[in-house]
Amino acid sequence: MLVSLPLVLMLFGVVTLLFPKLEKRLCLVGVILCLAGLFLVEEGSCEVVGAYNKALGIELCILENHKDLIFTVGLLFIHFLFSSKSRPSVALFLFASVLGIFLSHDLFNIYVWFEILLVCSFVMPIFGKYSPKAIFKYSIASLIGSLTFLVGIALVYKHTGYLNLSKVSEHISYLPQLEIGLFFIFVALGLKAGLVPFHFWLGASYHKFDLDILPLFFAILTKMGVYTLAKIFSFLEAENFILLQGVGIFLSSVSLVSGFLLSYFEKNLSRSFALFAISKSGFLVLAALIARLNPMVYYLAFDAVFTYFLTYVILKEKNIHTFTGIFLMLGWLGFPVSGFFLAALWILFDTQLNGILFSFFVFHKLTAIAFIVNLAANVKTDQKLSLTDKIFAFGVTILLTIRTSYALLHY
Amino acid sequence: MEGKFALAVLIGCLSGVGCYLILQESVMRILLGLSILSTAVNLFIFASSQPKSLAPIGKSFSNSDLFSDPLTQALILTAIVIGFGMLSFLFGIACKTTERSRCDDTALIDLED
Repeated sequence: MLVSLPLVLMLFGVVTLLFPKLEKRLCLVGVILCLAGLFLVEEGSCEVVGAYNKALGIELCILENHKDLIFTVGLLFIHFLFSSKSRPSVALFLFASVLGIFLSHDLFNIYVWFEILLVCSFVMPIFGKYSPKAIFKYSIASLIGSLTFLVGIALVYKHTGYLNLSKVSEHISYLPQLEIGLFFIFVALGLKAGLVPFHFWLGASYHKFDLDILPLFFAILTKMGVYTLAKIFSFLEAENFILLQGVGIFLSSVSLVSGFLLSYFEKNLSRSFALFAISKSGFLVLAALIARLNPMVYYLAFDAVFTYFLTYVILKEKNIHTFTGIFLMLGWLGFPVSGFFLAALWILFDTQLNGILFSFFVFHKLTAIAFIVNLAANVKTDQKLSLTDKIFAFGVTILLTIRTSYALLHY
Repeated sequence: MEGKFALAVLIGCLSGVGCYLILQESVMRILLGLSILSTAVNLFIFASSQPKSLAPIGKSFSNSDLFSDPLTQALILTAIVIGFGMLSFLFGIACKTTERSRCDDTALIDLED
């Protein structure tokens, strides 16, 4: 069953090309069928493709709490299918690749699904208004990331003899050579997630893409690198590689702080969103290095919904290209923004707080609030959410809240 | 031993040339660099499996020490196919970019609308 889920989506993606008039409806049927199939699969179950040994074959697993994450992403894709002018079939392939990354349980398959994701993300901007230079920058950075990922995979295989994540975690030994392999994987996924100092492509390319597709790019695509990093490092117990963890924590902290500072000084709205995405990636990578995968899954789902609808509402207003930035703007809303900004900085450097992750979490939340208030203060928009959008956004959020509360009480 | 050393030197040289070309300003050189770097990475994966004298096909596997690891070869094959597809797409984009801007220099291409 698990194996067939991404394949069903790809099959529908191909069929829609034959019936262009029914493209949206067929895509919707594909996504719904896939989500219905997912509902029948038990959480924690694994399947190996063909009759191969688990260590050598292609294994797909649905890990704990992942059903909720996949359902959330699926619902966002359904909204995207109806709200965007982009080709739905490409979006369907994109969803198939996202699902593949969520389900894959070995390093090489993660690489393969990532490449499918990249191809779709290269193709999607072409259907709207785009800058070839921006796509070129994005593609080159992504390809270099993929090659680095392959080098990391080769080194992990060399020193453990396996690619399957469970098998690798069983046979892992804390050798310096293996740590170098993990460094390569960190750099590769850092490039895909836009982590400082590998963030250069994000601000230079995303703001040149069509506004129509940006909600999906901001909400899901940049998060896939972080999710994969969390998944791999969680299985490989990266906390035992001291040097890697130290460097990772330093770089993610720098990303967290510099991302939001850069976004405040930026006057171009889409670019400001792109720079704020760097800050979010920093926080998520930090969490991935310190915490385990399970707590991150709900945060990722929340953040995907929040970012998607925030970007959808703000960037849909086509007339807005610039805004004044926190230090240049006028009006009383500057005070709360500065207040949140200063409080965030104060909390970051407060040594009395219990635990680095908690301090950074509060810092991250305060900067996010400051960012939104800054937007509210500066962006004058006539864009209103339609009733369907409202029901969709609030429905998904409420469902996630109930599910998270239940999970917290249950565990 | 000599064969392994030669393979290491080859991977090193290809990586060096690939990185050098990626740092150039010409779009086509960047793509050529990526192509060469991709070959170097594929050879690196091949080297990670400790290649042996016999090919792992059409023979009995009674003495597995003599055979090369088939898994890495399958990985390389997949990586080559994916890399080829990605590079083809990038060449298409590069052709369009250079056609519109009438130059091949990344510093001079300014199509930002």
